[in-house]
Amino acid sequence: MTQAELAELVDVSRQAINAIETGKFIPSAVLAIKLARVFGKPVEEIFILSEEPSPVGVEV
Amino acid sequence: MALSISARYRATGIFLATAGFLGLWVASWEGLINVYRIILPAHTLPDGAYPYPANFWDVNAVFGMVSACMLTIGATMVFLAKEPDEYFYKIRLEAIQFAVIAQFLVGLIAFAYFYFTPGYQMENTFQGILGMASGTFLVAYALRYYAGTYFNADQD
Repeated sequence: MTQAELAELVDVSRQAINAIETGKFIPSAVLAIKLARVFGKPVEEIFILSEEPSPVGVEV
Repeated sequence: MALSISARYRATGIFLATAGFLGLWVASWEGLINVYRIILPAHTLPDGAYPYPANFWDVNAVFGMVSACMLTIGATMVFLAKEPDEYFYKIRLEAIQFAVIAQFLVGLIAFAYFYFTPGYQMENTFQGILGMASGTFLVAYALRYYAGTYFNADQD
C-alpha cells in the first residue's frame, strides 16, 4: 500500500502519512484509530510508546 | 477552528497579498510615474524628462492605501483558510513561530545596525525597518510552510 492510498483511506494528506512514518508528526487519537482500523489491528500494535528520541514510534 | 474560512480562499488570499505587496512596493518608490509614461507618452518633454502630473501624489497615495488593504485582506484570508488536515495545522504553527522569530531578529539587527552607525540620522528609518521585518515574516512563513509540506515530504 502506498502513502497516497493510505492517506485516501483515512482522509488525510499524503504528507501527513509521510510525516507519521518518519516520526516527524504524532497523529491525534482519532487519526491513530482510523489508521489502526485500516490495518485491522489495535492502535498499540501500530503506535509504540518508546523513550527516545520521539515519544511515539510507528510501525506501518 | 470556528474562525476558519473555506480552503478555496487560500489561493485568492495569496494572490491578493502578493499583488498588494508589489503595489505597496511600487507606490513607495513612486513607480506609478512609469505607468504614466506608458499611457500618456505625449507628456514627455523633448529632453526625455517626464514631469509629474498634478494629481500624481493623490493617485499614488490612493494606490498605496489600496495596496496595503489588499495585502492585509490577502494575508488574513491565507491565515484563516482551513488546512487539509491536522498535519498541515502543525506545519502552519511551526511556520508562524519560525517567521515571528525571523521577523524579530531582522528588525532588531536592522535597528541596531542603523542606530550604531556613526552620524546616521534615524528619522524615516523606522518605517523601512518595519517594512523589512514584515517582509521577512511573509518570506520566512512561506519558505518554512512549503519546506515542511512539500520539499520535506518524500514520496514512497
